[in-house]
Amino acid sequence: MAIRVNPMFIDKLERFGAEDVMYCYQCGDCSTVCPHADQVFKFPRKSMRLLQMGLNGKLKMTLEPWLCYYCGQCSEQCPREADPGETMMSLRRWLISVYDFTGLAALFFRSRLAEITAIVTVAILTGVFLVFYGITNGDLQCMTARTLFFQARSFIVLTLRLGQSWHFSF
Amino acid sequence: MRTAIYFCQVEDPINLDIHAISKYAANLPGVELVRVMGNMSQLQAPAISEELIANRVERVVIAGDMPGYFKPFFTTAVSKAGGNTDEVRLASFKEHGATARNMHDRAKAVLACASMGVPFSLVAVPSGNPVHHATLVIGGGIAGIQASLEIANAGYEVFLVEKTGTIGGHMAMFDKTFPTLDCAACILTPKMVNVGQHDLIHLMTNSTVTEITGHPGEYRVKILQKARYVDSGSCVACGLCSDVCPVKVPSEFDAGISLRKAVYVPFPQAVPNSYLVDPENCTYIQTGGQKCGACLKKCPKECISLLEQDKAVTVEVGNVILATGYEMLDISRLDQYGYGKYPNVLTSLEFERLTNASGTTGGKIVTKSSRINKKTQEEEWYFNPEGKPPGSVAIIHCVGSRSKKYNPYCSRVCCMYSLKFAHLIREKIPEVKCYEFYIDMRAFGKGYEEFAERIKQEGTFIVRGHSASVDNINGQMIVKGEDIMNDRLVEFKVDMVILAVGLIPTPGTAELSQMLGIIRDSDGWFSELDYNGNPTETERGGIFVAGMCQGPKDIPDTVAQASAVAAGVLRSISSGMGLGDLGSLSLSEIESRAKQIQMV
Repeated sequence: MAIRVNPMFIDKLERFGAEDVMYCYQCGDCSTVCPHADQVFKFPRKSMRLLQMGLNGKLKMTLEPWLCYYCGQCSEQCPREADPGETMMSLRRWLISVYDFTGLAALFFRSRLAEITAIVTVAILTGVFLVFYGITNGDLQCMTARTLFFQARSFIVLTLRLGQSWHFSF
Repeated sequence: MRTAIYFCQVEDPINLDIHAISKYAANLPGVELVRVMGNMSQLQAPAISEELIANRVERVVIAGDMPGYFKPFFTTAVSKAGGNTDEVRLASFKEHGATARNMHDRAKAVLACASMGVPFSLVAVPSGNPVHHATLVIGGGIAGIQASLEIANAGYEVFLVEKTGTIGGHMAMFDKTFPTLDCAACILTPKMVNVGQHDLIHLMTNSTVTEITGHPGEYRVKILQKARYVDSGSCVACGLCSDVCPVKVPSEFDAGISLRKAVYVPFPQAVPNSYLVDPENCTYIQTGGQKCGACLKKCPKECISLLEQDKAVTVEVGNVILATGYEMLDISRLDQYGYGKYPNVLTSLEFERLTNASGTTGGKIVTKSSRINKKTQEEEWYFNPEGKPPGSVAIIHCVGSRSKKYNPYCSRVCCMYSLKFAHLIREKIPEVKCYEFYIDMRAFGKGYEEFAERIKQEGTFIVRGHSASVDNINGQMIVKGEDIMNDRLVEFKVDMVILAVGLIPTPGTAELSQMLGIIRDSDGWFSELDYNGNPTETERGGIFVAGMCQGPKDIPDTVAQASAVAAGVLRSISSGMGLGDLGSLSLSEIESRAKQIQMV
């Protein structure tokens, strides 16, 4: 299989957080100090190299990003302050966005606005749920009898199930 | 001529107010267009060539710290716009010293010259001053020795001021020089003896420069001559005083791996070859004459006087040569290499003294042995000539160099001396396993690449990959690294680790630069007038730089620069006129001169 090189790949990854990859001069300090690197998985230097060369096809197939737990030792040791730990983290974000067919992950990782909007939306929904919980004195079942706010029965049943299975209590 | 000025920066300037300068640039004659651009990524060639056509621009000036970076880009833009590519001019602020005091005026002057199409170095020539014939050389290393000898041999007086008790500097500590593997002492000691015996060289060891006043061509220099406590005229270096001295302290000359007495001679070939007393460690001086005094009784020539006082000397000189040299980076901060924690982790200078035939083990390479200190009852490590030779040695390059945390620059000599170490180790112990961990091999000089190839063929394991950890497991040191060429992680059991430590300017450099009014660059080295065209002179007239104090360089380069400095000094003495301060030229003067040249 021919190896495809994408020189713009590094710009793409920059939006996922890997900003300093080009500082790396391949000294191998990061791989030396990495507690997870071994003879089979040599990272993060190798991932940095693949990134610099723009081999996203190869990066897509590697397991290295998933082995890293971002202890930060590599970033601490790096003489060029290229931040290999953050690069591995960004690679994970990018890989998630590749796997995610909805495109939501890519949106959340790259756009601060989308991220904040999502958090605010979830917060509002949670607030609404808590308000209902408070109004009904924790007895969400009563709402099945006197459906004041919700007409859709299926939604109430779903809420009920959730309430039962998670054992909400204050 | 219709001119466009573009300000382009690789990095944001620290103190330079670009907007103030761009305002000045807009008022220069013939300037039609001034643009403040960002870095390369913001430049768009088609847009700029359109702009050039719209304004009918005939000359483009690129201004900034490193305008050369952007020249290819603007040449393309100008040729697209159908202009003359010869009229792309550079206004380099950094090259012409717009980095410190009066930097705005300098930047403006550089810009004015470039917009008029006149080379700055042709215009900014300070007026001449009559020159005093004597010369002051600060620093008695190989650079100072070479410059002093060149000037003195031409028949002029030299004052050589050296901080320590002997001249020779770092080169005297070395065993071999790369790449020829000549004996360093054999090259240096004849020169040292020449300096000691020369009628025209006034050697002042154990001295420091405390004050410099005056102007170019006539400097008055105050020198503090610290007391040696031994009369160097009558001392015959018999060594009886040292034998009876009870105080033992680490030897500076041996990089701390051996002990010396409080009355000592730094090394047997020292010039001047006389003993001196270290007042901070001498019991007699510290107790005010209450205790000890053993050496006084023993000296057969009665040349020791422990009550001698420091004295200040004032000399008048015309030129000053700075050759203050370098120092090793303090690597106690780099704890991943275990220096100070594990006994057999050595710095390069320590190893240099260990392998030196005049060193503490007589040139035998051994690992440290332990003994119990009788006074403190603690275990201490020392080099015993009968000790165990190492079975394997790791040499780690770039320790503290080329790192954003320590020295951002390359120390330039480490690669070559590390290869030299590998050769010396394998020469003395043929069965030893020797590992070199390097990032990039910088074999840049004549015969250096061949030397590197030869070391590789000799059987040294050269690992492309920097090691970042030295561990000690049950007394066995383990060096880890990534072998990038063979794509594997390696772990070697080693008995000795040598760290190729980065170099920094001597601590006195900052003080001296303030005293003399000389600019230092961002790394602390002295700045020269023009890196390419004039690497020996400085902003101040009559003050020259030679050797490592201007930036890391190896022995051949240091000697070459010292000779070049001597040529500059002799030129000013024999013509009777030396250059003044570049800073004394005002902006308006440079402008009017540039206009005159432009007219012609």
